[in-house]
Amino acid sequence: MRALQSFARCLLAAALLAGCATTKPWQREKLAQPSMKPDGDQEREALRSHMLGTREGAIGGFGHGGGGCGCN
Amino acid sequence: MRLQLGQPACLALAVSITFATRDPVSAADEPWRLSTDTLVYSDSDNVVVVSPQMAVRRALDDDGGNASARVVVDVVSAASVDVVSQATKRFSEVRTEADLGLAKSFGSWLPSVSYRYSHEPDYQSTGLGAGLQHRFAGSDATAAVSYDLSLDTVGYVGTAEGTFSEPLRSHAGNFSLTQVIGPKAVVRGVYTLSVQDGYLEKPYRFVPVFDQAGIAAAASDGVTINLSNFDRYRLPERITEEVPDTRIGHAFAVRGLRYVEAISGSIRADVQLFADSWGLTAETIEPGLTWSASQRIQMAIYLRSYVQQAARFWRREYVVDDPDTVPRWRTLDRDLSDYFAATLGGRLEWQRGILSGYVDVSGAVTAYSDYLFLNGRLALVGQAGVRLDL
Repeated sequence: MRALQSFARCLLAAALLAGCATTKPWQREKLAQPSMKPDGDQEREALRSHMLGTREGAIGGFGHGGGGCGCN
Repeated sequence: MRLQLGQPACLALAVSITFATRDPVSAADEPWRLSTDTLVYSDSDNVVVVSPQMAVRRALDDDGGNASARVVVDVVSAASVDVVSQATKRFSEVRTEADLGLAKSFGSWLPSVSYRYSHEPDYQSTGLGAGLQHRFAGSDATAAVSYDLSLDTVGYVGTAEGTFSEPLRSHAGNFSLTQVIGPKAVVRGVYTLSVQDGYLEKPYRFVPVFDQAGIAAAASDGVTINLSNFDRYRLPERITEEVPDTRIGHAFAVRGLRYVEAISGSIRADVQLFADSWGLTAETIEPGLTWSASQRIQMAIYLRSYVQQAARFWRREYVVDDPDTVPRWRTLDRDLSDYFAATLGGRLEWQRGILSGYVDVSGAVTAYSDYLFLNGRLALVGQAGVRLDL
């Protein structure tokens, strides 16, 4: 639980960072690259997430949300 | 193979397609994306799953608005220890899932809704979701909240719904924050609160229970109780699996991406922590590297480490002092046990004009430290897909 609390503090710190720096439109070329997309390829990740959800007991985060399949 | 979509799914699909074919408002050159993917999973525990998937996505604007539809079929063939320990032979079944999604931007706001329906011979699920995304700080930051509800009905193969039918409700609330850290880096943090309430057991699973005499007999024989001999030492009664009806989980995850000029690619790192009301905890770390092999080809490698600590009521062997009593909570679900899994994978992505695709191959090793029927398993996963942007 302490680790989770530390994570929460990090997340809050990241939230407070919002607005501290502004990236200009002409500086976003690299951020637009496919490898820089936090979501990745959505259809590919949906299949992979479903498979991992049947193998791992954790729920949520970047993974499966729980329920929806008798295979869980 | 025929797809078995229920009435609600068909109606929702018709409504979604109607909306998606309105006069396009997107300035995107290729607003349509047609996708087909297939995932093949095979492991040393005699489980094979083939999952073909088809999807269509239509961009509605330049700010993330889109309408989407996806259908995936899981063809499962399994003779795992979960199956053979219950004196059952290999079984095969087909699961079908249909997903619909709709998002439309209004300035810096992006609301979204989703619908999901899945069917398998002994399990039905209907899911609804709603989300809201907001860009701020000059579009350097994006906050998103979402809620997903899954209404499941757990059945039993060969048994009428009136005889056996148990409900399960799953709620998941997500909050995420994505922050651009300069021209070459972005970080995303996600918190998920999950609440599951209802039938969380497997109706086919019977938990072997032992008494002190049985444990002593195994020790006397000089054997460790396992799949091949547990029948000899357990109590004769077949006890059904029983776990708490409510499970509350907390997940924190952070993903960082950093562009690397030298390889025209990026470094990615995922870290995730999970803990739930059953006492189960898990830690996931997944670094990855993507680089450009040529103008049209990208390569990627990744390594995933998953470490899980068991639910507090997990036991390798449930031992009772009085043969007439059973443990209040008892389970044979290895996904609730102590284990470690490591995955190493590689991916090749290619693009040529409006056509693009990928091939992903990975191998995973899982080691169970406290599971009665299996010490570990090796899995191979292959996934490939093609995209057509029109």
